[in-house]
Amino acid sequence: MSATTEQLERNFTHRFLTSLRRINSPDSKTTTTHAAGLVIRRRSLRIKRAAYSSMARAAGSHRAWTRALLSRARSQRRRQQHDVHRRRQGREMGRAGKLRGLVPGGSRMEMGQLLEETAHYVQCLAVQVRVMQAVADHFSSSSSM
Amino acid sequence: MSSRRSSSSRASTMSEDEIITDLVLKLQALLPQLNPRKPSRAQASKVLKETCSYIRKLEKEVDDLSGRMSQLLDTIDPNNQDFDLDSIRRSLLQI
Repeated sequence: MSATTEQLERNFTHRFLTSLRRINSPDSKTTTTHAAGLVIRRRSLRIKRAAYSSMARAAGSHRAWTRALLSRARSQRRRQQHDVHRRRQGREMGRAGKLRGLVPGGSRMEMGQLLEETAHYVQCLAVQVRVMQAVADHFSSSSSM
Repeated sequence: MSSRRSSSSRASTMSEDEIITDLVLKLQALLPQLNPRKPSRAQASKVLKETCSYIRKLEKEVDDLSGRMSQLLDTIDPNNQDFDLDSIRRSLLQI
């Protein structure tokens, strides 16, 4: 792994764990009158949002996709929506239409920038998945003790 | 490529590293072909399609892992011994 990827991984891990602590804190837990399944589902969305936001912040604001993702999260918080990663149609269909819909901010980019942002987004997503996998494995091995 | 990964039992992650490197190189290789020269349309379209599939796959993994983590959070000690950064980083090094 390159030095910058290691740094990204460290940065993301730190931010993500901080968010998880907050999500898991006793004050933030909803009352037990909610069905357990609903609590778990809602928390799962919070965890997912925290993962994407933590990665966008760790990756830095010099990337267009991170700015687009965080701004989308802010506006969705205002509108009380839950899915920070709701798919949008790429406005321009063309050959890269689907890709534009997948990369945050992609519909506004010209092709060269889109490809560069895509490469970076993919690298960051892979780090995000790797860390989340390690965290989940760690929790699951802790609970079996 | 990190050599510590070659001793890992998680073969799927090692091949994903290769996939990423490959995609990144290919995406970068596409950039000069945006000029009026005739690139191979089939090749470029294939890479775009593979990239979209890969992004979707990673996003689905994020969804699944979020669900799994949400269930696991009920089982761990809220006194936060389990949020120990060093233990998790050690787990990461083994992947």
